[in-house]
Amino acid sequence: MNAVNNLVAALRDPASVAALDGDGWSGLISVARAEVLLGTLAHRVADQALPPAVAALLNAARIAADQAQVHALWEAEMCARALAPLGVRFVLLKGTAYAAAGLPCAAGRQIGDLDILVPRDRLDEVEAALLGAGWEWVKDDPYDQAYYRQHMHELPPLIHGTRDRMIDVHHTILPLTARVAPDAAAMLADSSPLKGGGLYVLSPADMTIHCAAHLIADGDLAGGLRNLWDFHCLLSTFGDDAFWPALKQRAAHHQLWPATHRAARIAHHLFGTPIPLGWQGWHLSDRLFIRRLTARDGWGRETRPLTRLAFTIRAHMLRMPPLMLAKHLWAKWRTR
Amino acid sequence: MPATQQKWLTASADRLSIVTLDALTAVYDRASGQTHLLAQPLPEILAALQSGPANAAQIAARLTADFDIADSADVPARVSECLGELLAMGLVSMR
Amino acid sequence: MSHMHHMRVGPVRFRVASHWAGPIAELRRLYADYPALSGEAATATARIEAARPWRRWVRPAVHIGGDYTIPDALPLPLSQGLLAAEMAMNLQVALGWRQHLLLHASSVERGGRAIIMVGASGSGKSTLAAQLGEGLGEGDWRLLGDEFAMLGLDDGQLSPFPRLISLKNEAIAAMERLVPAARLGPAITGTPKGTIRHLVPRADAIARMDERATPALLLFPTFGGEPGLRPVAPSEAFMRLTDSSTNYVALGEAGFAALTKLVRDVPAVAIGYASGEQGMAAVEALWADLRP
Repeated sequence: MNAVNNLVAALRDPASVAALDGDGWSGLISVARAEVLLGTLAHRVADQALPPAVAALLNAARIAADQAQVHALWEAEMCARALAPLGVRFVLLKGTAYAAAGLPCAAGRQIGDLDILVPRDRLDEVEAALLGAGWEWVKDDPYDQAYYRQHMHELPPLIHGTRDRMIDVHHTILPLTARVAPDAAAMLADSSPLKGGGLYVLSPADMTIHCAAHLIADGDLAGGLRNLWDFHCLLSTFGDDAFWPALKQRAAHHQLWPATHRAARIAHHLFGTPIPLGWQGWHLSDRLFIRRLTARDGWGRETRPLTRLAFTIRAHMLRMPPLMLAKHLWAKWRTR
Repeated sequence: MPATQQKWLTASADRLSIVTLDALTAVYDRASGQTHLLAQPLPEILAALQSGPANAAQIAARLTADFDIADSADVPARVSECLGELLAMGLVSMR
Repeated sequence: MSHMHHMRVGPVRFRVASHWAGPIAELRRLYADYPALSGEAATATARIEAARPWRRWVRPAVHIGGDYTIPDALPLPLSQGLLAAEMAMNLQVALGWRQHLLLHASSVERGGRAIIMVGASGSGKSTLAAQLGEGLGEGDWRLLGDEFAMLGLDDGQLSPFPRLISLKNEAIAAMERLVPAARLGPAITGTPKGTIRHLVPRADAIARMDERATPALLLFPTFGGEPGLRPVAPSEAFMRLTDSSTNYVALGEAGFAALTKLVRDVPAVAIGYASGEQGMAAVEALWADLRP
């Protein structure tokens, strides 16, 4: 089996690592690092019998991932303090939300930037409050600023001056230029507070749909395997008889049922995620997504460059009508 | 409430690991994962707040009781300044 | 990938792969006395590959990569392939190693006790450690490492990490007169740091790579600086060491505990010196004062 399949197998069935020899482990570690899943892998196989050097490496990876979550949650807390005077509801998204809510997919998960969702009509106040509390623009380039404001679903990224942490402030979950328009106001309205603080997370259905949108509709599938693992964990955590029809209805409301359904089929195929019988089955194009998600060799390198290129273009096309895309690429090229 | 009446509280003692190095004190905050190096009188202010929330004047009184401070008149003002620094680090908060 | 070598250096199990035979052949020669992995997993993978597929053949340019990569790093010409491999290996450790507190420092040992030398590039810490490790001073020093000092998180012990020593410019000629050619890599000219030549550490440094040492002195050397000694306060040492660590923040409280213990237990001194002899003499004098 190749290294990326070994990673999928190890996440799905931790006992499968018993079959790995030294080279198998080398490849698995490289691929897990490339997919930013080393901490997740470390948590998954914590109870398995491991070669001593691997056990030491994964133990350290687990501790480092736990520490990274401390930093991420603190950043959320600092953001909450900065925005408290506004009385605005802000919702944690992605990794920080999973960690704050104590969801299983948070175990070992790497968390990068802090992503939050705020009401679009409060965006200016939020921006001002963050700038007043020590955050600064990462890019002052007027083109980038204008590009973000006109076409993206978030403010240009901000970084905190002393803590060196980035924050992405979203007012909806997909770029304004994307062909589907999720109902961000409904997501905000249905978000729920976490115990013991002013922090909010999306409802289970919206959290799941956002994860699928991030995986299928939004990006170029880079880092896709980690997002798919998130998605798998969310479905495994939330999935019960009441959840499935609610998820489908809600996804349709956000125009994201095709993305959610595809993510569910792929997760079922790769990770054995339990999904309703009627959702199973196979679309021809699913194979393309799976090829892209598993496009790494035993050295952690991305393979199948042709498939990858196709997806890179696709990601931009989904976000932007062709003429705008040409303008964007031209401006990027000129500033090289 | 006037600003001077503002009550302050510090992180609970089990949240912080405090190691005196020399004139500077190293503080590790388990909640933030951050390390701070504090000069006098910041560690003393943190210590003074361990006995409960207090405003700047009360903190100043606790400090002057524990330490031999010659000119105690401007102590509350200096304490307020220091509290601002500790607030930015997340080591104290306002009640 | 078509060419590869693997070896253990201290606690790190490396595999290094390349599109080209040349740099791997150099690694194989220079790391010949290091233990092979013999069926064990690699815990760090370094790759040096073509920056673009066609650049394997046309004006070959070597990209530094592996499990961890710096996306914007400029590629090196193939003639600097060995340097690229060494840089790629360093990168994996700097960004991926979490089992020790990593200090960007050289270190030497004598009688089970160690000196950790910390300084910016050009401070002379590397040359000083190399000279001591070659037995050019009075004492019988063993080189623990040239690039990283690995501090144990549980016990504060220093784990040797005796990678190749990268000699720069003036330090090269002096060493060429002293060691057999078999211990030297090719002279690599035209790098951003001038000419670089790699030196295989002395046999004892490699053979005893699993023998740890207790830190006894923190040294902040400045080559060309005002000659003399200056004691360094624990808080200053603490600040400079966090600054020289690539993983202090990632380790959290374990890193804090290890580092505060180090700076409280071990004296710290800054030295300026104008020549290798002066530097080594200063080290010997400090060491003599330390002895119980």
